Amino acid sequence: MNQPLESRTPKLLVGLLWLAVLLIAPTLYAIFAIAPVEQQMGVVQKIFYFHVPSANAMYLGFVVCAVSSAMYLAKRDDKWDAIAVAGAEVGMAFTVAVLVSGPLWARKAWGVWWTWDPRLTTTMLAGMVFVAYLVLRAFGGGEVEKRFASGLAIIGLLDIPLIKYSVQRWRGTHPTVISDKGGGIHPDMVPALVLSFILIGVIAIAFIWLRARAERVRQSIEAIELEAASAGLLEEKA
Amino acid sequence: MPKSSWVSFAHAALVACALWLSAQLAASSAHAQDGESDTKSAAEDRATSFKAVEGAVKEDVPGGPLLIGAYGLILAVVVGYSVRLVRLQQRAQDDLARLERQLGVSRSDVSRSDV
Repeated sequence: MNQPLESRTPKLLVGLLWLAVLLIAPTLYAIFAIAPVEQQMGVVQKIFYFHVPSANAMYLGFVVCAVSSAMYLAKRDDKWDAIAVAGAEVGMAFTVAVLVSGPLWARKAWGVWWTWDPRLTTTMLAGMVFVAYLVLRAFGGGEVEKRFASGLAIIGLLDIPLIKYSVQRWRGTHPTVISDKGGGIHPDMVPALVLSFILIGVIAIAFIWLRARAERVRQSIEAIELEAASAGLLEEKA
Repeated sequence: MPKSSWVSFAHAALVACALWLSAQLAASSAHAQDGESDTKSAAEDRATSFKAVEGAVKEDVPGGPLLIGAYGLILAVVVGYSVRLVRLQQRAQDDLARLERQLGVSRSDVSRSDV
């Protein structure tokens, strides 16, 4: 912590928060008023407009966590550790969104709540890895726990390309609607999908930023308490 | 009719009955040994028929509640994490106030972030 710190919320972060708030209404309008109902699945297909962007937000969170963990291991700067924790938490929140909204859609589309499809299985595996990361960080704040958790996050990053390309490489039930050969959706569905991607992406970035700032403040307080305790300046609690 | 003729007739009748009974027994045993005619093939066992719907269309798995549940979940995740961030902020404020009291330092010296 050898750089001067800012106490005010950055303008860009405030702008992101306002953008997210302003995008909610147009996104919901595009989903329910503009995008047509899908022919085979019916109205349940509209889960798609939040399920896929949530999966992307999950990738973003876990990649941020893994990259920041690698930076922490390289530079031992607590700033990177704070960003890694933020990435893991936000990635885990959107993993819950994906792993619950997906089965709700699957119940209608496939007739089952869950199947051991490659994409579903690898997504659950990523969730389990980063749950382990968060549990380790919750119960151990020392340097050893930080390094071990950082290694775990880097290992968890290996699962992300498996999730992404599992539907193309292995046989399974999960559909590939958006692929390199072009989107397989009706043109009137595109605005809703684009707006959803932007909205969820902005929310994920804002959450990671806010959580990292909160973690930095916590680290500052902890460091000051440690210094004060060492100097004998803290009063004993009654 | 002479007695010998009755005896001959009786003998013939008994032989005819025996032959008839034997034929019946042979036919029933043949039916019992022939298993294919009693069980259906796998394809026949799964055979179904398509019928037109009568009255209002009813889905076995209604999509509306599933859609509401999924969107409610997304909302719960976003709102829930926002609440977590607010609580973290509040905890930091409480810790800062405590440090202020204990150390006599100003809040602006402590509550800074480089992120």
